Amino acid sequence: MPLKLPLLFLLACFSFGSAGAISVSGLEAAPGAARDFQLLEFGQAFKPGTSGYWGAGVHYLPFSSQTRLRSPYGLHNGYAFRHHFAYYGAQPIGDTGLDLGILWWAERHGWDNEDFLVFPNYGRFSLVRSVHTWGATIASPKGKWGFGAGVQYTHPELVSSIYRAESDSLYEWAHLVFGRASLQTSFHHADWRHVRLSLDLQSRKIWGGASSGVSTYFPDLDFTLYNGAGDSDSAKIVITQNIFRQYLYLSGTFYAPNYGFRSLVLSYYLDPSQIVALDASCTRLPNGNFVWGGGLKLPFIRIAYNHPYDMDRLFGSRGTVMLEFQISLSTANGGFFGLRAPKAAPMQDQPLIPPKGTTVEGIKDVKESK
Amino acid sequence: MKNASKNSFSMKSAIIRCIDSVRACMKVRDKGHVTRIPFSCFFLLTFFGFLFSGCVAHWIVEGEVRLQIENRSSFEIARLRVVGDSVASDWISDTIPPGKKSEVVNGPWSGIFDLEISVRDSVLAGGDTLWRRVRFPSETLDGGSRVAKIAQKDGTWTIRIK
Repeated sequence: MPLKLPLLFLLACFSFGSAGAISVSGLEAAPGAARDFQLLEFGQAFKPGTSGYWGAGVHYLPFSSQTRLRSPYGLHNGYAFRHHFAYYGAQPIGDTGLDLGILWWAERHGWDNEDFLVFPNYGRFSLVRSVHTWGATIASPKGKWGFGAGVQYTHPELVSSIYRAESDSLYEWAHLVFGRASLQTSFHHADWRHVRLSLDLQSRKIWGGASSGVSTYFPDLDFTLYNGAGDSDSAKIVITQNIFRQYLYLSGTFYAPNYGFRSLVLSYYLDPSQIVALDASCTRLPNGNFVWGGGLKLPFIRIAYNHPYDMDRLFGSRGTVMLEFQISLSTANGGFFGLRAPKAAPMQDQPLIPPKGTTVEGIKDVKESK
Repeated sequence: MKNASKNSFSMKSAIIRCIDSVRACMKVRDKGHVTRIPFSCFFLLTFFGFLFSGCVAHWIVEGEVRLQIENRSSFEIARLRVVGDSVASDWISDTIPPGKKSEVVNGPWSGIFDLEISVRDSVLAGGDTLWRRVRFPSETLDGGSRVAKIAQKDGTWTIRIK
């Protein structure tokens, strides 16, 4: 009996009936969303001067009732999954002042009736797909410009009969960054798929900006236009605003012309390096209802409930506690920091507060004498 | 920490180092320095991450249902179907006389589904059988071996899945 109560509590935490069941259409729309998020993440990581970025993550959903699939037959027990990995690395080319870089973003996602890490069960209602982004970059940290281009590849590994049939597709993309502005686009055959203009107006110390003051309160703006074959073109606008000393941020997402407001996230970062974050969020669902949520992001684990991050990337799943083993770190100028962070994380030999009566030099001397 | 050899990597020393690093991080502001988390901590976390992820869970949680019907009514039951919005799939196609059990059939139906059985209602004058459909909405089916006990009392059909 004493063991039963905590177990029941754990069960209640992880499963909230069928409220968060994912839909067939959510899974069908996932390759486009995954491609978009991969390029968005790359665009945020790729600044002239970035020497590396790596990210990886696996959602851990212990119960098969957490991410049920709603098919025409009913509600299927099973597991939505998203295993992702990202790498970007750049090296200076001799003494030309230019950095040459390569990148690979990989993701395997879908829904399967049994949980797995490498070999799926391939059930009768499963969908397993992988999405890749490859490319090469050249950047000038001094000139504050950079250019990247490459291909994106989506590969449906298994598409069950309840889903719309799909085939392997190849896309091309290009990304240009100049100062605080960047422009990105992708193509499929002769059609453009998206155009994104990002204006990172907020002053960031890591990129030579101010560490405090008015310029750190400028917003970061993201405008994306998606090709919906003419009459159903749509746009996505993301505004991220520093509210308090680069510790507290507010980020809003809007879709035009139809959807309107999508989500608002209030984030508190333990440090401006943005490696540890505490979020509160409000998301508007396609049916017009609002859901509240939140999350805690730690260096290796992220716990969230009804967070727009999971709803967007895990096929609209919600109403359940999400646990993700994840990491995402950027490195530049010898420091490391979270995606889009304004400052690097404090490192071992950087004194934060010198003890009373000593100077920074004094501490160094003590260390050396040991 | 004293017992752990510096050259050999042991689980005990890794755990001790992890705990030490957490304690050091907590003391960060007293010392005026930030202590870097050792890499062994990262390895331990990923190890536990992979241990508890999918690789293990599917040994415990079954994704398919092996179902057997036990007919506890006084009517003959024929075939069990999973019915949804405008779609249906046959699961067990035996004809089960009263008091008998069907064969065990494996189906990919772990979840919440509407089940439907056909019940012999009456025999028409020409000798044809009239079958009536009985629906059990939103039945929860967990993976593994299950027995569905179907009964009828005072005109109400019930299903108990164990």
